[in-house]
Amino acid sequence: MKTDCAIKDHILRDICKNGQEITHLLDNDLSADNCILQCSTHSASESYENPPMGLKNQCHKLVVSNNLILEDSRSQSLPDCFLDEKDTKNGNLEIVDNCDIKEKLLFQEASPPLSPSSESWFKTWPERCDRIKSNETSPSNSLSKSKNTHTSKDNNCDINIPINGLSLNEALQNISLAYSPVTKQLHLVETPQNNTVDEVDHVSTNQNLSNDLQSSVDIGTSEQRKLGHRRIEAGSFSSTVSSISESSTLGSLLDSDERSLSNFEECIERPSKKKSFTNFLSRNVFTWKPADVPSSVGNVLKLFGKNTQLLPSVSPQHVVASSSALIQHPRPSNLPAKSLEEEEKHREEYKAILAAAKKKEALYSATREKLEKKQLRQEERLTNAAKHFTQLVLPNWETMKMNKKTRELWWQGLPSNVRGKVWALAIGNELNLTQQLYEICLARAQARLNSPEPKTSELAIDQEQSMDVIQLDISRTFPHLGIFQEGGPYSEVLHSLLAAYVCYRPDVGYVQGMSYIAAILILNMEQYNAFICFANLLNQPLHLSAFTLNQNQMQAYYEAFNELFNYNLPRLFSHFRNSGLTPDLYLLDWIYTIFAKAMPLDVACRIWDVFLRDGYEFIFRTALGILYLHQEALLKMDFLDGAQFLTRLPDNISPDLLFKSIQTISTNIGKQTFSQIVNRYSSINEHQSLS
Amino acid sequence: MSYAYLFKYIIIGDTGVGKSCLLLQFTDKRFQPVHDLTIGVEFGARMITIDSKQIKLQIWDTAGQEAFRSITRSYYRGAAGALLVYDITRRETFNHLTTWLDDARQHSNSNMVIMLIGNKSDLESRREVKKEEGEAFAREHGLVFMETSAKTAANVEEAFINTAKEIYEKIQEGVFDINNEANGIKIGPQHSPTNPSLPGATGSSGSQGGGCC
Repeated sequence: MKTDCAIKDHILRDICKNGQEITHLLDNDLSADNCILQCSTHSASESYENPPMGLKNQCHKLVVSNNLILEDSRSQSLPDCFLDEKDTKNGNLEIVDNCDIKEKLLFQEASPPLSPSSESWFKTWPERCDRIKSNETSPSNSLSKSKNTHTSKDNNCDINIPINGLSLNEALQNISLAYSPVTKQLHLVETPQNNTVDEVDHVSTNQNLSNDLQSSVDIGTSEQRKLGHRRIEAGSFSSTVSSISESSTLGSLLDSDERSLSNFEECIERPSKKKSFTNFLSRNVFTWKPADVPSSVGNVLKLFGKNTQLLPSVSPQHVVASSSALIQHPRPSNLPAKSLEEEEKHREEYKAILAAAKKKEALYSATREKLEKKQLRQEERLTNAAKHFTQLVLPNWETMKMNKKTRELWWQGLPSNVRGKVWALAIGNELNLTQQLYEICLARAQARLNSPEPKTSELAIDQEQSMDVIQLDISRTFPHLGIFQEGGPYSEVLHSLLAAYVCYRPDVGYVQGMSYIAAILILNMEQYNAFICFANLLNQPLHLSAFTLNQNQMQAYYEAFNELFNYNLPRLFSHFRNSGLTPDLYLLDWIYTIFAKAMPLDVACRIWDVFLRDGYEFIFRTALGILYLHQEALLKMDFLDGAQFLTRLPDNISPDLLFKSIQTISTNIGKQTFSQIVNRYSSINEHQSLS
Repeated sequence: MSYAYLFKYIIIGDTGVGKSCLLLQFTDKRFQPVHDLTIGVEFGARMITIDSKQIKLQIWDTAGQEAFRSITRSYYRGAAGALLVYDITRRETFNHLTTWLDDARQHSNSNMVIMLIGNKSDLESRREVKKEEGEAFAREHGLVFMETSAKTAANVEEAFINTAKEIYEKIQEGVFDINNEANGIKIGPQHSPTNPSLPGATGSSGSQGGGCC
């Protein structure tokens, strides 16, 4: 039964051709589902004409998988598959003749052996197995490893080899083929004794994951480690299947297999069938994953990493070590054996334990993964934003500050590494303050603090008083941060800045609330810049009115806010009016500290971001956003509860929800801008106070 | 929770004398060594029982800085009681009492009960204002006086409750017109002639007096 080399070469070429074609097709995205289906069928039928030994089954199985998934009609597709399979059986008979030649060829070559991972399920009949094993010990293992790292398709190595640039001989060697006297065919094979145990188990447990694990436990010796790996894949696989179709998919497939194939063949075939299906899934369904994962085993492990990683019991050696697995072991011979019921009971118990653990871990890992993904997205966004600001915006501030993308990124929150710079540019220095001026103010303030001799002028007394208050307030600014308290790193900085401001603007002096504004600036930029920003910020109309206690003007702001409130949230507005909750009660703190006191620091900084982008209106917009966010709760509160709630907002505020809420608030009423409304009220108030 | 009356309180006094800490001790029974400063006004509430009647205290805790006086003035309106607080370890807070008192008298209901409180009595070693000085000031201006410690909770309950008792007595005497909310007293929504906690209590409303003391 020997054929010449030409036939062998011909067959090998076919392997390459079909392999290439199929691999190529499979590499396509799932979006080309139908195309894959068609082409695969095509290539499969081609391969039937010139059956490339083990590849035939692979191709065939891929088509089956395609049919299963894409047509979603197992009952229909399956019979066809079997017809196909039966048809090709004739072709296979030819190949059988080539078997000897190929084997001879394989072992003449000192080419790289199989990697351990492929070995685990590509074991051949005993004599071949031995030879492959001896090859494995050769030092050229690295080559085979790199081959395996190249692509996940290596597990179906017969398909992929040409792409990986390996020699045909290597390719052949990696195909674990064996002649089965029962079917009179060549087959992809595995270690027979393992398979027998496995498959019996599989048939009885219908591919249930926990049963898979169960069976690996049953086998339960360290010798079965590699089998365990394969088992993990099978487990992952069946769980994937159940998420895509139903776990019975495979069961029905197996059932029909049983009808057409002998028991023996079934034992050999099924694992490879699962394998190809797994591979198919990993290639086409999960296209997002990186292509260069170490090996197909690793690949699957990685793909389903959360399951395997978090389920240590999946790995056989752990299973054996764990106490819950011990109940699976037969008792030592000097003890009476377990009864059947007991054994069954233990099996059930162990299954339950595994299932519960798996469920718990799946839940945990799902939430963790979600969180991690969110974090990752956030980090990525910040990196991109930082890049945009440092490379484009900061060097070209005037032209880029109104840029659409800039504004959008700005709204989403400035990255902390550019925040201070952007703030400084946004605030500007209208007052043309210089470092010298700051130093003069600082020196004067320090002199005053060090020589507390009584001043004669009233202004000096006032100033001194506000200086005293600064001292008191430093430690009461962000007390939970612990950095402005006495001895804290920023205590002195904050004190100097505020004292310098009092000397710069003795007419305004120090007013409570300023310490929070100064602290926020100090946290984001260095002292001198913080002073410039502080002075310029406080020179803006709203804060100048606030800190000079210009009650008439503040009343105009409150009234304008009320109008906006009524326009945006009429229901809550009338509820507040009925309960007597006036806006000054809660707005005062929000305006004087620009939400630094009311909000967690990170949220406050985000509000500051947009406040410095959009101007003072944003403070009122944010206020309405807060009211809108808590509208339903506030509607149920009386005056006292509402006032308490708004002057002590919950700490667990979500910036995303808040900004979503703010986004719904409009600061224009019709064509009137907020400033116009304020101006209208301030002129009314002025008129009233005059008359 | 149902209540017979609701009294509005206002806490005033210089910044840093411990107004917010007194409130926190009274409402939450805890002390924060470093409290963040109060800007504008903050609120607290607690239910107390006087003469077997549930009384809700609605407490306005104001900013103490001189600059904010123009704002806090508007908060006096409708207050039935005021706690005027100074710090026994800082004389200037005692010296400012007259201006606070003038403000309070000027902008509040004339019947408003004012309790003078010398806080931080736990800091005896740093005391700058003698207890007798406080007592004398209170006598002179017709105030009730008490030294308290928000830290140790000494006299804190008493300060708030004694003020409430005095307001309650004024109601019984008919000094307060409880139907005028500008007096800082509201009749509770569930208030009925027969108080569930004291079925035998007489009087359909507090202004008619009654009950045994």
